[in-house]
Amino acid sequence: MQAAAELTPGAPGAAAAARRAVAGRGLLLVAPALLFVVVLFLVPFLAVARISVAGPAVPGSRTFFDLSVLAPGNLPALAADPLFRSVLGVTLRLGLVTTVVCMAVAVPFAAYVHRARGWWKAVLVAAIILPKLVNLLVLLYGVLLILGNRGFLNQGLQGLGLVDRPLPLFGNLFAVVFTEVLVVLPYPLLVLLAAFSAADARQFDAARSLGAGPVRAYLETVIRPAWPAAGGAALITAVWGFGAFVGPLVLGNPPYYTVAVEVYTRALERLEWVDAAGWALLGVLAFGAVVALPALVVRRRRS
Amino acid sequence: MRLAGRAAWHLLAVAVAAFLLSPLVLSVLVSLYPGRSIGLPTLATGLTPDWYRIVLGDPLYRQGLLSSLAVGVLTAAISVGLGLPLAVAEFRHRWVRPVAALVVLPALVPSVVLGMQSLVAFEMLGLRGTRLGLALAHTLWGLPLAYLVLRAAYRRLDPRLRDAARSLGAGPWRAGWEVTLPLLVPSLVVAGLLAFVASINELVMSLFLASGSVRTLPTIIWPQVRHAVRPDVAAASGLLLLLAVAAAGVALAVWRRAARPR
Repeated sequence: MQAAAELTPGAPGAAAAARRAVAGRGLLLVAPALLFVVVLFLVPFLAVARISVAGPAVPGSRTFFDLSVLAPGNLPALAADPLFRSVLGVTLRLGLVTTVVCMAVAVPFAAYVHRARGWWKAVLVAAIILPKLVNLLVLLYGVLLILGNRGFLNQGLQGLGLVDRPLPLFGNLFAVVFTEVLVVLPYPLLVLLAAFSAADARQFDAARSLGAGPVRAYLETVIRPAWPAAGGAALITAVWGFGAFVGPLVLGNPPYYTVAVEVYTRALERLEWVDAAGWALLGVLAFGAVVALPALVVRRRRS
Repeated sequence: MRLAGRAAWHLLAVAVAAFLLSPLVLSVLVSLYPGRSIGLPTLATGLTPDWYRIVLGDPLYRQGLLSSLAVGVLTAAISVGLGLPLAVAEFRHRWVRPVAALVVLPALVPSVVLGMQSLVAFEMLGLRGTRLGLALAHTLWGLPLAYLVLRAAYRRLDPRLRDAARSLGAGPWRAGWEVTLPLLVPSLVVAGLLAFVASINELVMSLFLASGSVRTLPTIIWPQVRHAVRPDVAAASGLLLLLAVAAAGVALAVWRRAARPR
């Protein structure tokens, strides 16, 4: 039926019907995933948005919020809350520091792995992928073992007589960034490695034969073409840095609690769902704005 | 000068690799320490599998391990089942692209938010505290992974094979079933295993969604990591690591086999 329509292009009705049939088949293939993402992602997100402007729980009821109330004032009030502002600031700063550190490490290291050969390359790639296969808790446990007051780093320093009291490596910005970089670093590394591998080795040789030194030839033929991928890698890093939850909660004290930690404690420990929903909604919106702005600027400059 | 620069370059790489691997190696070593508290095994102390035996004998840990496995398998199945048709449709129809972007979007949303909104949704759908509910929430991450793998694999397929099947009279479904699907088996396995690994390691959504009877292993380990540090936690984490590495090993073997020219 479809073949017949293709053979007779002069019959517009048949062609249109065939096109509809093809699109219909596409719809059938897409429907399950679309249904999933609408029912389990979009609708629940809107539900959280609705809860953020609901009334507080009615005493004696089983729910943690009152949907019969519509209180749009909740959100501006929260946005003006000094605690929210300071936590949002900490979160964005943590995401920024994590992103900067990750990219500063990832670009040279990915270039190194890209140039490595044989078993050494296999070891390096394993070092990138293994931590990603591991439960976050294993990593966290290892970090605690390294950075704790009686951790290996402090024991080593004390054993060598370099310090007489344990250094406070724990519960501060250093510990949180250390953990977050550890958790996030594999993502930009993998993205950059894939981008570098896409480079044409002949271009490098050509640049060399035209008189460029090895470093300059590498920068021009491998790193520069991979620049858009570096942008993508930074975005992924920022997303994960912003969502930081476990690291700040375990390794940072309250001054380093992120929006994610505050949402968690409000929703699951204090059962203040209206508040938690507001924090989640405004946090996601603020982060979306921060990420989208540079993307828009770049796009405008290009066009 | 040149030599020093080169040495520094190698040193940087070794330092980064050590940084990435050290927490992992340390916690595995601690899980094999024969003492009762935290310590590093040496040649004098030797290694012991005792902590693993204790964890495997503990009903709470065992229940967590079983839940993690069940949820992981379900997540892999749902992610691949939804991701494959989407990857096929995305290749053939332009209009599918925004839908695909929408499907990838949850991977960019912090897991605390996903956990919270899933709890609200499952309360309404009656799925709260069930393994299916946990698996559906983990699929929010598993589906983008599976979809991206399958999309790349489907694009690399030789379209002439399918066209040949069609020109020999096979309908689109039959050509898909008898030609495309067998060619995609390695990618399906890899996509499923990636979703499985993401699921068994997932903590934050599980904290929101776990119930008394359905708790995954990470949610059982979590309070102990936070408050006390005992070697059995290292052993329980070691089990998760073992599962993930085994899954990745299978994925790699399947991938190599498929990549080898026949």
